[in-house]
Amino acid sequence: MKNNMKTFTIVTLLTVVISVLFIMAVEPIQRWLETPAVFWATVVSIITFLATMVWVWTRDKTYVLLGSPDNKRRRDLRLWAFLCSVLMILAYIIFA
Amino acid sequence: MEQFNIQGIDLFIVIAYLIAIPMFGFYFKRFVKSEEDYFLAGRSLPFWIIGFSIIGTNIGATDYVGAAGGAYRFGLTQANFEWIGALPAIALSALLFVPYYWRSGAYTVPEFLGKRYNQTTRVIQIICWGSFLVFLMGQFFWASSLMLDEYLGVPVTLGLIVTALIIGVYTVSGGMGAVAMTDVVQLLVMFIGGIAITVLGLWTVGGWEGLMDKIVPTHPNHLKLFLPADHPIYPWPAMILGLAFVASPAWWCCNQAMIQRTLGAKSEWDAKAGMMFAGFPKMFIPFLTIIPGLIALALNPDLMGPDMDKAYPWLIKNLLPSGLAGLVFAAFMAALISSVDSVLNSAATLWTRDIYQAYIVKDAADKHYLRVGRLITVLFIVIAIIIAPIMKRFPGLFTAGQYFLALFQGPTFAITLLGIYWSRANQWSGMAGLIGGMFISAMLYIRYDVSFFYVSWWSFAGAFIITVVVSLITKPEPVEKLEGLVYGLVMKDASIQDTLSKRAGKQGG
Repeated sequence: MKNNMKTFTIVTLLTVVISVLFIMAVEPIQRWLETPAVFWATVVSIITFLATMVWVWTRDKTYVLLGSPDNKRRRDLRLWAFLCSVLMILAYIIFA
Repeated sequence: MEQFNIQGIDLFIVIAYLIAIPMFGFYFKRFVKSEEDYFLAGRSLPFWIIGFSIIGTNIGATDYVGAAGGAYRFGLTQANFEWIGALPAIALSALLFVPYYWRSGAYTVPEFLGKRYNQTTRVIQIICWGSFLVFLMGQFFWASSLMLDEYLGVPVTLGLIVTALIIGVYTVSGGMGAVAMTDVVQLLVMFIGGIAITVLGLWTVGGWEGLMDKIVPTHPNHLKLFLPADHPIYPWPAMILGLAFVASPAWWCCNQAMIQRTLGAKSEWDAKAGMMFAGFPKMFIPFLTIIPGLIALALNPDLMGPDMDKAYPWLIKNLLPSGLAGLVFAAFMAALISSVDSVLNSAATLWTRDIYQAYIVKDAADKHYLRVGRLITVLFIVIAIIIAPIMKRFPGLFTAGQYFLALFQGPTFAITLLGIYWSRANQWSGMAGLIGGMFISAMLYIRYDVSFFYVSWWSFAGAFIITVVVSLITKPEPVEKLEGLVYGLVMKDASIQDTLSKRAGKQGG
């Protein structure tokens, strides 16, 4: 009980200190965020979809197919995610 | 909303639809024998029903009107809500979050967080999500009664009662099974109605090229996905950092209304596949909502101020022939009903499981909780009817709801992500991250005038840092507590999967 109170006090103090420091640090970054060119939006969005494609392929096949009625290729959800991402990359290039 | 009345064949289509849907949903009452049948459809749903139901829930009639109005005002950037603001999050949810929720045997996301962290975290979550869902229901009920008034001439109060009856009949009796099955039908109606208006609109403006010729000379940014970084409403860094990286994953990975269908899956694969499958219809939503907004701009560029939100109703009135107008109105109602029923069912699940069953009556018979679940569903319908008119009196409430969501969704996503991915996160850090993140959100609102997308981003970042730091200075959780809940402590073996399947089927809160 005493240990719990000690931990509670430390955690509360730490949370308040980090939160206050964090809020103070936000303002200059927020001002800077109003400056980058729109070109970078397309770059970041395409990287996001590419990262999604790469990330899904880091999932183990056994993990992805766990609970599946069979191991047919069409049940591999990594392929579904890959297909969605490819279509999205095309859309973000076309409407850049 | 654009004033016109539906008559003749259109009226027949709408009324037939509004009668058929509750009858269809009521049919599923016969399958409800237990609490699990009621809240999780007996854990029997295949992936395609889950996927369609998720999108049916996700797209409401207010999205049709709001997104088309947004496209009229700001252009294609509105599509980010359906594309980068959804698809990466759906993949993340399907292949990381959903399997752990399903394995834990939990009924709700707060219940999972209670198992992973502690009961305080669970209670904060239930209060936040539970209140937000009830608020959302009021908003949907109000929109529904308003549409019945504008299009069918049904007085608002009567419209509220009609909405409650249509939805209540099958949601109260059939639970999630009825909700999911009716969502599938409603999504089909939404797509047929939406495609009809888009195809006819494009044909009228001379195809895609005709649309571009009419819009680009006067609105050069309207066919671009991103707006400048200093744009007052949709600056691109906010769309990426706030929407794509935080608000959207929080919505798709931590919102009970989105996740609950996957918990009703018949297997872990169906749970994951259901969420991933939702990504396919989601990609095409802009063709039903954003493109009509642009078509309205091309055909009538004179809508100003709040009238811009009338872009979609203007198209229905001026573009559609008799018969199709009724179909598109039915699609509107389908979008609304499929959202309200799911939110209602999820809110009832949260309050029954996480409050009543966890803290008020702990060890009652299954039938008791089934009865309580139904009573709470009725209670929420009554509450929604009561708070719906308040939405009209205080229009700022809608914005307040969005800000309230931004207050907790960033921290929620941070602690859930770390909870699943990092075994070192513990009960102290989860609680500190959640409370600290919400404190940061509140301070940002008070101190700076920033968009809620930025608030979501910063509160996520703050909660993430707090959770990591507090985890490192406090004791780790014992491994037994984390098994099946944390990545890296995955149980892959087929026999263990069977056990998990049983656990998902039998385990309570």
